[in-house]
Amino acid sequence: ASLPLNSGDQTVASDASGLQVPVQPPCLPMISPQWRQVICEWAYKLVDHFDCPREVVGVAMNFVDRYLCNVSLRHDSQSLSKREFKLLCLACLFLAFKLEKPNLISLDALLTLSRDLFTRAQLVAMERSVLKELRWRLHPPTAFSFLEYYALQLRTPASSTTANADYC
Amino acid sequence: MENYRIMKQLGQGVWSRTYMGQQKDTDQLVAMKKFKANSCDEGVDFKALREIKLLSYLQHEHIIRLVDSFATPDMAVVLVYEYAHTSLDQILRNRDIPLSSPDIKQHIRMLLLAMDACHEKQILHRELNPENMFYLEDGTMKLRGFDLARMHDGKPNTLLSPQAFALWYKPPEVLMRSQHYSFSADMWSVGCIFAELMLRRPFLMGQFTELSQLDKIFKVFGTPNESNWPDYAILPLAWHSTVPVPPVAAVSLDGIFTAAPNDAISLLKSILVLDPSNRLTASQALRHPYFSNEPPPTPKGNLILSSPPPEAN
Repeated sequence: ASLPLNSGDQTVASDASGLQVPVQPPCLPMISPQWRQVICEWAYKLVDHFDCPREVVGVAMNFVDRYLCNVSLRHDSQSLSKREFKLLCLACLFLAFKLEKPNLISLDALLTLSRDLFTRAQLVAMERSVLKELRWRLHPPTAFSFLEYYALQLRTPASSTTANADYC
Repeated sequence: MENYRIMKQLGQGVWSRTYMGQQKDTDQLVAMKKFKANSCDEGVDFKALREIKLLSYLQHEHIIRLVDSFATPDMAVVLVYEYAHTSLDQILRNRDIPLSSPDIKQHIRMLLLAMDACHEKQILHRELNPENMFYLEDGTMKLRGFDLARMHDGKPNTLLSPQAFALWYKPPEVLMRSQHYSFSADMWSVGCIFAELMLRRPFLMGQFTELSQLDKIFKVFGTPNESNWPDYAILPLAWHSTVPVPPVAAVSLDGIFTAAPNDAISLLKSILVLDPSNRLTASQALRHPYFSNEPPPTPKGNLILSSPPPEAN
């Protein structure tokens, strides 16, 4: 039985044993790298507008990538449509906002900002699906966390916690 | 939820209920916190998410371990923790449990180690009290209650809510509505717990209101002035007659803690200081001579955590 991915797609190849294994990076056939970039840019505009740390986008995209990775590696899964991909990104962004800046953007506001493409119930359901796929592991290391860690190591023991360096 | 058997309710908070449960496969006891599902119109409760994030970041011997988390069909989030058998609150209230000064040293040492781990990772706990100090059977203290905890980037312009902290453990700057408090605020609570271990009753028991709590603090530590707390006058409540007139002088702690050894009182005096910038940090406190002086802290396995069984006749 073939994978439920688009037949003839290059992301799937057969090895000698006849097992089909994905050879491309975890990217579903219907989603192109450009989409990810477009969403990323949109997300950056959004967090900048709300004067939020840009870290939020890094966390959200980590969630998106891990979700896609899980889903694409599971053979029984359906590929995501463009619409589902948008919903996924929105849910991940919503989660990242809640972790970093709770109460800043309400669910309704986020739906409006995405031009009411989805209903509240759809977003809530996707959020739960994301949490399940990520097995509730919500503290990914981002480039920013490495910077923060280095800054912490550089701090001399004599300097107090209040004299903390402004990292970025 | 299907993997766990709920055994009994342990407690109830504003946003959550705690249960004692058992993992069905392993029979392992766990504590389960179920967040109320009333905020489901905003999806999964952000407080639960924040706690999951903090606890996974803060893995440490003296900080409660998160075993599992999941969402129930009715949109409530459940966090599953390792099960702790008793709390410091229960120990302090049980008069059958003796607390020697080496015991006290071990209790406060474990709290300081937990605090140091939090502050090292820039996390403010904001709800330190004996009810949040739990003990495993082997005597290891596990700090819990990270509902109000948050990452604090140390930047002076970060606003923090003055609603945090339980009344008797609330530092004076928070009572005076400072929104810029920092790690030293947690240290005030540590000092209060240290004092409580020695007195065996809460040290500063204000009656219901924050004003009464401030009054209690000032009666012991004196009213704030330019010399003992240079920055107090810029706090929001400093203008609202919270500071009693005429000024009160500080009382000597030696007179209150008559049974305590001198090095313990010296440590207490360096933690419970009105001016937050003069309080010891957790790592400084751990280097205080109190911990290297005799007697050494009781090995945690020898701490008495529950009443001895009644003597057989």
